[in-house]
Amino acid sequence: MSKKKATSPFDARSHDDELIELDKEFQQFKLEDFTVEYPSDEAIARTIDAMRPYVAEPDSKRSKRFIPWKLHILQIQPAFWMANLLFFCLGLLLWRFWEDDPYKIMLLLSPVPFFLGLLELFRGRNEGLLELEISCKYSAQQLLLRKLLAISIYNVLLCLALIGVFCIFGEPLLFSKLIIYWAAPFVVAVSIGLAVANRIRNVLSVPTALVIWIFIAMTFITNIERKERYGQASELPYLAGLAAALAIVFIVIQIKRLKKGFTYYEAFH
Amino acid sequence: MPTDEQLIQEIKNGSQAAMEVLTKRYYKQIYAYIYRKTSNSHTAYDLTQDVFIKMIRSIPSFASGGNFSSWLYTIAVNCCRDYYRSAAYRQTAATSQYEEYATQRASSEDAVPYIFEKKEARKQLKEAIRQLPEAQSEAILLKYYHDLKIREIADVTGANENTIKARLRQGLGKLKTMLGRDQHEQKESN
Repeated sequence: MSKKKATSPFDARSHDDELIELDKEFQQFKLEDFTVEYPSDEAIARTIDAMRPYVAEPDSKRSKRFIPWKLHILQIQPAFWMANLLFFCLGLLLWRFWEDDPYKIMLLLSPVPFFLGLLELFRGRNEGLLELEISCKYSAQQLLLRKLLAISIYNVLLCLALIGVFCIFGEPLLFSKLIIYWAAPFVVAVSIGLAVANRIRNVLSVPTALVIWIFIAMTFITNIERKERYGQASELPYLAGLAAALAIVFIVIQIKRLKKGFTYYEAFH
Repeated sequence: MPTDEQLIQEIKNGSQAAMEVLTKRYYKQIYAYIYRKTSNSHTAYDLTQDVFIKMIRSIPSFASGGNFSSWLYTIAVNCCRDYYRSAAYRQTAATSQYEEYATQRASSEDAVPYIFEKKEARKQLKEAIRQLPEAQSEAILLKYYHDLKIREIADVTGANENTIKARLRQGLGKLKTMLGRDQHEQKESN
């Protein structure tokens, strides 16, 4: 290595000129050719996990647990709550004025709030800005799970309210039939919604999941009616219970998968 | 978008999510520097992880108002220096020498793929930068791939500005010779 050093302002200037000259010559060698093979998002996530134990413990004031009623934090639009209330009213209207079968109403309408909730998940991710600020307090995965939880609780509450109205103002609903027409199909619909959301990962997953659900629900209704007509309905509650159990396992897998690739904040290049 | 300073404050308050955001913001820059410095993706991954762990452990002592990016690059530069002094590097270097020997042996048996490989501009640049002395490659990578100013490179590497200019001048001169020679060889082989 050369030990030559600038000893006077003239030397310094000539060295700077030499550097500028070399700089220009260096530009002809295509620097961008030296590309980098970046690690996968999973590998970056492993590094982040390795860093977690070194983050200081939050002080007691800040470590307050997330309270479910702090719904404003989740940035769910009021339109979501209103749209689902309308579906609830639609269920009541169908039952009251057209005397439709309450079980079929439950089957078709119960998963709708959840599907619309998926829209909220992706809307939050696409708009990002506010969520990004929030993500300093809660990670994208925490927000995802909390949104899913809030949406599911709201969905179940609406369904229970509907069931309550049907029971109070109409004939009592049979528990076994509720499992067949509501609980099991609802869990299956949620698993379908999550599977579609995992594949499409944008707002298009909502209409896609709705179309798939309507098709499955109509096929289901037709088959059940046929089985009831031929007196083969006794094994249905067991089949429904089995389907619900399988769907719950599937839901857990889908949530894990959705969590993995879900981020409000991409790694910068 | 939260600033680095806001995120650092959140991390100091114990926010895991802020740590995640800050790490993702700088991960690829730091990885790219280390990858180009070491020419090995596995080593670059491990060293990048070390850099970020050192960052998170030292963040309570990071002064507010300081330049976080320069501070992080300083950790990365020091991490690479430690690596080159380590036993792990000597072992990897020995393996690389063996691999180089094996490649050359294979090339004498089958010259065409070797010449083809030699033609790759990426490989030439990678090899030329790898052959530079550590201080010179540091300065060149930080200036040309990370757009750091000479003053910032001086801060990051702990040298003065004139030394950085000298390192750049010497490094560029060597690269010019090496890359020019490779281009000449390419033309001859064509």
